[in-house]
Amino acid sequence: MALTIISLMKQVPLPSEMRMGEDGLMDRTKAKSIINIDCSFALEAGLQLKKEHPDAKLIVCSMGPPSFEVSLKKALAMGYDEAYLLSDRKLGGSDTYATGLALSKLLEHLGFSKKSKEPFVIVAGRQTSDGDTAHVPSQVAENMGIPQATFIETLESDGEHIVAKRIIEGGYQMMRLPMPCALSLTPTGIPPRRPNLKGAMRARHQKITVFNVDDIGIDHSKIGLSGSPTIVAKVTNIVSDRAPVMMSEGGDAKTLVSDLITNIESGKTSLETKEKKAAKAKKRPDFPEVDFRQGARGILTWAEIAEGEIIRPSLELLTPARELANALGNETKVMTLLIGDHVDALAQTLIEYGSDEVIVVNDKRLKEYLVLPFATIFPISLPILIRKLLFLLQPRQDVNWHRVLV
Amino acid sequence: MLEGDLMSDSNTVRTDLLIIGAGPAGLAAAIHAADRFKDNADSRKIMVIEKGKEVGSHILSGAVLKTEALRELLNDEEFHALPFDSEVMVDETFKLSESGSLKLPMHLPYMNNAGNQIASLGAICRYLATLAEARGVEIYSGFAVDDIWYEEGKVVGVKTKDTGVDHQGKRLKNFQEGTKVRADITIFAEGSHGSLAQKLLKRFDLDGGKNPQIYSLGIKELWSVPQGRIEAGTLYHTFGYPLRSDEEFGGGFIYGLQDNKVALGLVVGLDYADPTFDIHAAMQVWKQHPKIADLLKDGSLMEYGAKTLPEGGYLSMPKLYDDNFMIVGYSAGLVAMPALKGVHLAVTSGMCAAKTAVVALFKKDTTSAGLSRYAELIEASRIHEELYAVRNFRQSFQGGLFQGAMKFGVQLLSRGSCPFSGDLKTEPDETTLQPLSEYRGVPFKERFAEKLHFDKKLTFDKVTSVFYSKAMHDEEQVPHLHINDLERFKRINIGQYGAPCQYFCPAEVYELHVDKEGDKTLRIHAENCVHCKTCDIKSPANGITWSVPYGGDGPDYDYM
Repeated sequence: MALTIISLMKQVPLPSEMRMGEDGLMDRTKAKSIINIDCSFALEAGLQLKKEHPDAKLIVCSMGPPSFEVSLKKALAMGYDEAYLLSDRKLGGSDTYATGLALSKLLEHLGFSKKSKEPFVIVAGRQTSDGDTAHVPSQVAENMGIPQATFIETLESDGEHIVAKRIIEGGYQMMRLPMPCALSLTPTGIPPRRPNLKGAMRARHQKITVFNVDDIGIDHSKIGLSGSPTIVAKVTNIVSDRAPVMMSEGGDAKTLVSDLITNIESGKTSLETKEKKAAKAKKRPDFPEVDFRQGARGILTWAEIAEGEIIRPSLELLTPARELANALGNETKVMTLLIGDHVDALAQTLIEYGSDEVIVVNDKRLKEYLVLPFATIFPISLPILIRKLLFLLQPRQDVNWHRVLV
Repeated sequence: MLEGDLMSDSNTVRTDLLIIGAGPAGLAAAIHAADRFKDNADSRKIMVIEKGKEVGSHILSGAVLKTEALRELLNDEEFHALPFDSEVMVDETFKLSESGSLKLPMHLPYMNNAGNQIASLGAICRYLATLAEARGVEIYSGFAVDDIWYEEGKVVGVKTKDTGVDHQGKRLKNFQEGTKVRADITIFAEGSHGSLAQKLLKRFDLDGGKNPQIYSLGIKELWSVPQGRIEAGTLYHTFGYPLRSDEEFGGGFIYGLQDNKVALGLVVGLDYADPTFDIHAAMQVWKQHPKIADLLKDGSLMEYGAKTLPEGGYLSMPKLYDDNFMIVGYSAGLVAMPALKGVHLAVTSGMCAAKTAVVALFKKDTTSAGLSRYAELIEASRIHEELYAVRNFRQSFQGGLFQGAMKFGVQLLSRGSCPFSGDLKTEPDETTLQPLSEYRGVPFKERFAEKLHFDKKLTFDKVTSVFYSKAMHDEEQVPHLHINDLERFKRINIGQYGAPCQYFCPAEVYELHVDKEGDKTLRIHAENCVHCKTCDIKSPANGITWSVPYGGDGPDYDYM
């Protein structure tokens, strides 16, 4: 069966030249552009897969302004067979939710869906340098209802399944997914090949097919700013408020070390500590507020476990959670979801770090992080629903649920 | 058309007229050949391959342009759309001493720039590229040609560099074989000391009987200065400090540009003797002269770059063609001294090569005989006219400024000839350095002792300068700078000369590492390279060979 490899690609400003327009949207016109680094690794992964499957068709797709054609041409020069661009002013301002929807509609229009008879695999970059969300590959997969694997370094196929190496904290997982599926690639695998001259010559004459939103039948209300649940409220440049400290300077090892010693001895390397400025009163934002909560309350965090310990970021997360809860007032609680195998003892740590209530879900099948099971547990762990759903989830009766309270 | 170009042999393509290098010479050849083909209703194809990331990325020049050649190349409308920066309004020459300056009351011979245009040559080339592409020329930038393709001893095309190899040349998973390009005629337009042109000169003995080519290294910075500091269209040339008249030949330039920008730099002949002389540092010293420091005060550095230029002139010009190829522009050594003007000659040579190519292709005779018309056209053009009259200029100064001035004075009257000694020979740059033990002058660091601390506001160290050139190289490749004989290099270049490459390289590519036992080795930081070619030219005993790295690597000049 003929395999199709679909690469999702974004063109981004050269990192040294990113500029924001006045409306908070990325001003793409003024900077030089490159193929997003993670996407270029995905493009290469697609080409590597073709080495083992010489009959595979390579397609590259992108959503963006007409200027993205430059990068699509480069992908063609690398060896891709066809290029498609979804381009429409109405897409401007789309957040990742709307983008994921639009891209999945594009793929559907090209004939790729869960029901496709011929196998296909979607390769995308993990995240972009101008968005940094890492949302889109997963949202495309969810919109299409196909399995996904993220943080993939390398992949292979036997024609029916994809076997992929996934990078995790402290090691890697080998994942096996049925096709069709979607993968997001880290910039750690095989670096993208430079197009050769012959490829560039071929690409010069290849056509890029451009679609607008009506060509592929997307509901206008689901895209652009109106279709985006999140908006960029503000972008600030991070400015350090203390002067940089020169630790040492020199053109060779000997000079560097002696300079460092001199600076330490003379106190030049000490940091000045400034008094903390009084916290400014927080203003309420000036865009309209809509309350979606329907009476739900509380802040829910998740504690990730690696090698039997709660990882530091999950503990650090409790600080802003606590601050948010305090700001919301009304005795808002911070609850933490702890999922794993025999992890009860860790709940105490979470309480110490600021959580009010820890929901522990134990099962030996939950020892390793897996996307679908963990993601399913989230909504059903919400306190309101727990008692009702325990009866609905018969096969899960052997799962040990309990809540640890302060 | 396309199927014919993409040949069935997986990695070979073909074209009719191939041009290596998208500088002024290469682009002029492309534009003019396209016009000539069109006049003859000839549908032959022209391809240009450029090693820089984009057209202009590797282009660096002052530049003050004489516009006649461009007027001949382009129609009126196109000529008036050329993105010149400013017309020359003020044109002054100064002799500098350590803290003072003396304005010369008149122009030096050939140094009158009235009517010329100051421009960024990179911007001009980018514009010429659009004109070429509009005429159907296919320009491919970001591709490095590293080899010439021969059949039966004759040039039949070129090959682009394989990519996706590690430091040792071992193929990586993303290996891409280079493409072989077959062409009926190849025009080599690589600029100063082109690496392929060097191979051709050797293989076909094109410079047999000619003076060895000699070069200068030009270092340039582009600055933004406060409003009103200098008017656009202002030209200042300096000579004297920090160069010593009997040691180093060269001088500085300062050009006022639009939008409060200033282009400035120091150009120094590579025939100096002090093995520790550092041209980049000399420029930083030059900037500390009050006249220049005052100009740049509170300004900011925008770009930095460096490039060599050939100065041997007419008598160093090699034979410029053989079967199936021609050489144009700076690779051909076409620079008119003393004003160092070569862009108009590059354009002229490009047009001569184009005329020759179109006729040769039509007559289906691209042999040496078929291309000999190129030499005739050069001799009948301004190239001969301008170069012949100053053919002994540069050589005269190899003995010092005073001597040179005297000799040149005579040459002005004798139409360029040396009536008493006959035409002068050149001393090749790689032979003029004196070993450390023999050099009797004041070494560089002593000469400028207090001025070598760089403050990163007015003066910059080499590594910071490299940052402003935006030079980048893929680390996964064979380093493109090669020590020809490790043992000889250690014995001679390091042992006798103290590794002068660590001083003359303007990008700090070469580092002499001395370990605890006093053992000296050379470390090569090829990523810093700005493609000036000084090391290939100046390294004693032919120590270093510069070859082309991956296409797209190197500096990325915007307005140089």
